[in-house]
Amino acid sequence: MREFFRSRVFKALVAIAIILFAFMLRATVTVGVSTVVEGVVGTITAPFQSLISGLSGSVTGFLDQFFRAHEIYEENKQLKDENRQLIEQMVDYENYKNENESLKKQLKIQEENPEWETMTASVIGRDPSDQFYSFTIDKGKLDGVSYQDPVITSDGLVGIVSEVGTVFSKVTTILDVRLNVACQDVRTQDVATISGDIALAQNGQCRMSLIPRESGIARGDIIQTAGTSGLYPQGIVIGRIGEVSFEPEGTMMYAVVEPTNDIKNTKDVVVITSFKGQGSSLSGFESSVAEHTPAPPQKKSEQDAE
Amino acid sequence: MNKRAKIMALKYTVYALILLMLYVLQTDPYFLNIAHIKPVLVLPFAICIAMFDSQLAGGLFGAFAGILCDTSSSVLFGFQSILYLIICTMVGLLVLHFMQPSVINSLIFVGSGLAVCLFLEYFFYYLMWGYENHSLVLLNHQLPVLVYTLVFTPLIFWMTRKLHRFFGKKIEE
Repeated sequence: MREFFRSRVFKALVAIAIILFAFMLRATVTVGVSTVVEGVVGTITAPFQSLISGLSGSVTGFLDQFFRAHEIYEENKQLKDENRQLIEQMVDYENYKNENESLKKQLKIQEENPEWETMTASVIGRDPSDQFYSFTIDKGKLDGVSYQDPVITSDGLVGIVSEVGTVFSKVTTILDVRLNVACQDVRTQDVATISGDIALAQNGQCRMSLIPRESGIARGDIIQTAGTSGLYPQGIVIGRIGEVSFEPEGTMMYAVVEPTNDIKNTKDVVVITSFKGQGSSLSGFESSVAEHTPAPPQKKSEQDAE
Repeated sequence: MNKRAKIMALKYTVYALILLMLYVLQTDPYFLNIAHIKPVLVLPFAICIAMFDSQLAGGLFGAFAGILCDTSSSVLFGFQSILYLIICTMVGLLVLHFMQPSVINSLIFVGSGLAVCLFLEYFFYYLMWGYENHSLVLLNHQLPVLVYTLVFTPLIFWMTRKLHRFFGKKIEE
């Protein structure tokens, strides 16, 4: 064994470890940008990943209808229940009125959406060691994707681009404990923060925190992005409130949010590469409600300048 | 380049291609996905290479497997490559001096190696930051990943042994 530690082989392996460590140190400084090695490896593997995920996606889609028959039945039952609840809600005129006003605001936002610059992307890889369902998409720097671009589907917010490679990007989902998003209750207009929760993530849910006690938020309320930090456009639907409780300590409430997106099984997404107000944040507000990515954020405006 | 060198070059090229293929399958969103739990396939293969080849080959393929995992992972780049490099070198040394390349030993190496990696990730990314319910990461995600990976380890061990013997015979001819 001693001979090994004196050998050239050992020195060579130590040298490789030092190089890898240097890359690791560099990665801590250049947050959101993939290293040279990562870029090369990702460029080589991304086409294969894209091909294989396309193939297995088709096979899975075909087999799913047989394997998931029971699940689909349960889902159908659940949807019927939800539908009944929605009909009951419609009876409540006051609620309807409030919701109508909110929807008008949403409609206004939708009218502003043509200003968004978007691109579609496919999920080509999921990290088996990540329990928050982060994934890799087949679009990168060459396609115009930037660090911290919001990622959505037609159902609502999925997450944010946390690292950009040449032809691929990594997406951190809203289920991740390291991601906080400033959000707003469409009905009551209360502003709070949505972040991942280890226990809730397993059920595909996330946690809405920092809700004032006097807030009137209730089960079934729609939650959307507040757009206060310039990272997400305002008005992207995040989910519906499932359960509201008081924090065990403090004077705030929290709520369990059911994302409108099926984040665990997302196959295709839309990346918003540009939107009105991107990079501009409401200073002062951010000190109390942080809307940031896992790593120290590099300002969008700085990136654009680069 | 003599015959031996050519066969060795071919052997390591085949190993690298298999490692790439395993990585693609490992990160595929649907392949082997059971309740959103997927096995880690590249580490068992790198460990098996370390068991049958030298500690240098093991270490290098370990580092390569780690780089691949770092590319798709949300952890800091280099985290897994350094760990895999160390684990595979240690496995190579243990097999050289104390242990035999067998299925049971491959399960021990993969189980303990992956457990170390997953625990360090849990420690640096969840425990250290004091997230609520952090132990659920270990119990509900990392433990199933570990068990699921061990299920495929004998298959990967068998494949590596076949390849090692095949190229060994080619060199002897």
